[in-house]
Amino acid sequence: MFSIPGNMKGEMEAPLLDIQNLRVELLLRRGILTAVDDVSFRLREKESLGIVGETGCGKSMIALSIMGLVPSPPGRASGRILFEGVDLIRKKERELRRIRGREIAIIFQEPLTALNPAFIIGEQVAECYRVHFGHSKRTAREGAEHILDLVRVPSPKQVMKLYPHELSGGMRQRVMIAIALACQPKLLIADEPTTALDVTVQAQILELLEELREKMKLAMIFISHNLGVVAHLCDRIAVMYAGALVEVTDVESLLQPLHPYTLGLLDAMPLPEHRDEYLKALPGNICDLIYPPSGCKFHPRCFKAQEICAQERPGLEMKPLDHAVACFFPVYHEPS
Amino acid sequence: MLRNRLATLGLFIVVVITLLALAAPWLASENAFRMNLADRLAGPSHGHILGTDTYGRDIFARILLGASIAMQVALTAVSVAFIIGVPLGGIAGYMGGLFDTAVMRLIDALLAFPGRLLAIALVAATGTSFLTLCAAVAVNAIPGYTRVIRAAVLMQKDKEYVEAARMNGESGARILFSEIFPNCLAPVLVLVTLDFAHAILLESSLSFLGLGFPPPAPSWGLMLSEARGYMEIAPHVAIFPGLAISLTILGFNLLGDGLRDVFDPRQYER
Repeated sequence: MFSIPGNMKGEMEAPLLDIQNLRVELLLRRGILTAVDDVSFRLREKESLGIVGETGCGKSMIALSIMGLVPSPPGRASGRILFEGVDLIRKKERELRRIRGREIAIIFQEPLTALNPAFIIGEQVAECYRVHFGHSKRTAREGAEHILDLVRVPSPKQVMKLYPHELSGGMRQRVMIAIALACQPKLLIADEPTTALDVTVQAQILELLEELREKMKLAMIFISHNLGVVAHLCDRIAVMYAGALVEVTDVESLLQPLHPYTLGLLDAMPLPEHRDEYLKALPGNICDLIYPPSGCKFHPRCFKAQEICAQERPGLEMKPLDHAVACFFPVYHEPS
Repeated sequence: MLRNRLATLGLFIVVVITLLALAAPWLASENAFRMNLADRLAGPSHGHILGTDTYGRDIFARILLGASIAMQVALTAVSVAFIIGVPLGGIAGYMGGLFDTAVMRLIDALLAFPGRLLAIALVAATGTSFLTLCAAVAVNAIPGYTRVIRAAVLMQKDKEYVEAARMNGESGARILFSEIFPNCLAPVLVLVTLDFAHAILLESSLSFLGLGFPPPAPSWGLMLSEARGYMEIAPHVAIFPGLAISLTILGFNLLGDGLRDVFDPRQYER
């Protein structure tokens, strides 16, 4: 009963990534925690999808399952993750290793801890070439220099000789991007890549990502809790709540959200025009993922909730053009 | 500051002893074995700086050659312990689970034996030779490496750079040996210097008990044991080898302490 959110036009062309009914469960002592609950979406080549949601709603778990790195035990992933038509969930570790970093690359949130403190930058960037292409030390170093130049690290030759702690945050993130892009992957997953950075550096990094995506014809999944950033960078946006997708839409139509949760998120954004008012927060807390509320997981916090919301779970359904929402009573008016 | 000066002293002692040990075969191998019964138990003099022993052999030459023996045993034993203990502990820490439990219980069992007793049993069972002596000393050192490297790996393995390496498609072996190990080396290096001291002491003890090198090898422990009967009439025969042992161990310990300060363990807490 999974529907295909987004883009009817691209239906004929095989998607780069096709996730069907992905479910990630963590078997904990307290019970089974459903971190990702029946998520399906598609990503075409060169498309960029933003995944937004609160902390702990399963955004990063999706990224981990695409990489085949859900910690197991206690994790268990089921469903299908078709990458270029091949199911990654059923692949062996050895085959997955060839895809990781080579076909699908990832950028992390905290660039300092994601770089090995014991090696100079040059070696770490060159590592990918050596692992995936078996390049010699020298060609790998040349490749590293080239890619560092591409992510606009100034004087890459010098930077390659530095240790991670000698670089600034923005520079480290550029190095991370260089490492991710070194093997020219088809899909880039950016897991909150700018959260740890200053706002100005953030803007530079986002600009760089956008430019590189264009240049290298990358598809991208951009995970963030910052709606503004995602709206700026992505073609489509998926909103997650408690492990499930509640709304998938084009960036343009996000400003007219259908799901009450998305509406709440938009309303909670601080805007300069409203600086004298209190921020509008969503009432309540994110629900317990081990014993989620019955029916729609959002109903205890939803202002439109009715009886049916506590009994049945709404599926992700196409409302008007290209706009999928999982709600019985979608909102049909402009956000205030 | 004081610690640093002491560490420098330790380094100095270690370097001097290493150089002497390296040069010993050329400097001393002749005098160390030449007996002169007329000149037994002579005190320090112009001809024999540190005097002579029960057979009239030059004690200084024997101590030099003894340094060479002690260093050879220590180097071999520590290398063997390092080569076995470090990968074992590293893999145990990285893999965790059943393998980890099995290895660590094995190490615990090994630790439960008094080290010296284990070494004595080993040598007594297999007979004395350079290799069994080294093996006996190494068996005592392995648990230390395994535990230290395991703890360091455990501290490193959940760091994000490890996950980043995994997401870059690196294999488990590669992640452990070329990503994690370089970040774990500092405490191991300290252990190596301290273990040199332990190894030298253990070798001396075994030789003293007659379980190390057979006479007439100029092992420090053996020299002490031979001097036992003459302590009252010629104390220098026992004092100088004893001093050599103490000084060497002091040197290694000071160096080890200094290294530990340099690689401040606090930097690993994060």
